[in-house]
Amino acid sequence: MKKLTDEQIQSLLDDDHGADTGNLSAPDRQQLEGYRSLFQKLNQEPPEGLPFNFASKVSTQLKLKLKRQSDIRFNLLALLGVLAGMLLVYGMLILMDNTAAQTFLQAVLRFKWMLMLGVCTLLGTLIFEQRVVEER
Amino acid sequence: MFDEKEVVTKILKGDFRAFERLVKQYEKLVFFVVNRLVQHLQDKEDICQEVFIKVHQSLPKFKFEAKLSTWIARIAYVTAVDHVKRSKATLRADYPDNIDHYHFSNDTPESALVQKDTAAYVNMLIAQMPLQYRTVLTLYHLNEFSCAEIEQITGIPEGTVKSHLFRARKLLKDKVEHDINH
Repeated sequence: MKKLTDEQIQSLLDDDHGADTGNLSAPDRQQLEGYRSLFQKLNQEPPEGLPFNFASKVSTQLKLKLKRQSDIRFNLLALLGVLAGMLLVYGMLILMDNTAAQTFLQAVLRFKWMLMLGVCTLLGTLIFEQRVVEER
Repeated sequence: MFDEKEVVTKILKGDFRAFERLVKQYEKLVFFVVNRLVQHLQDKEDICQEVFIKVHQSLPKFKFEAKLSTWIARIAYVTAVDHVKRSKATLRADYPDNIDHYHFSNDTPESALVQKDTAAYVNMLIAQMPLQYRTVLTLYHLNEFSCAEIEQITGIPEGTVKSHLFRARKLLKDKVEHDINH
């Protein structure tokens, strides 16, 4: 006697109510019953799940992530703005008064640490403000 | 009625309510995949959140060539598998040397207790199985994907999906019949 193949079992279970199982042997029917019972268990949803407000939590997380990305872009633009402003001033001074341009450059180089500290303070304040807004 | 195209278009225009509708529509699908592949309970919600944030980021690339559910299930599968790979503790059990020779280990006292509830016992047995078996069982039975769709989601060839499915079910049936009847 030939046993049922996997494909035949699948087909009989897919066509659960319409299938004619009358011509199956007793062991085959027993096997099919075992699979039918297993399928019921496999198709059962797990008792645990996600919280009811999961969708709004994800949406909030996403908004926060997008805000952070936009904040980073804004901070980088602020940094570039400071650098571009200084270059612009230096460029204009070169065109108008070369001595003043050299004095400006020397002043910048002399106070470079002060300037860097100023830029860092500006960025730090921006980041702090953004974090406070996020927490609220 | 959930209209995929309409919802996706709204999300791409920056509508967060439409995004929440999408999450509500597919949260079960994502949870079923993550729940079966990831063992640690506290990680599951975080991974589901990560999946939907990835969905939002990748949505501009979605061209409706596949069903949205299949595409989201693929993101969920890849994210969960990445998480499992990072978690070294589960690595050996998830990827046995030869999956075709996998068999259940002997009973433990805890499993004997769970046997009283067959559904819980089946879930406990599935949790012990290699990752590929857990994946195909979940995608086929809980998420109701076809073998061809499971190939699209996991990248496992359709023939292998079928053989994993049949073997996993046979192992489960034999183990349940043996343990419940003895």
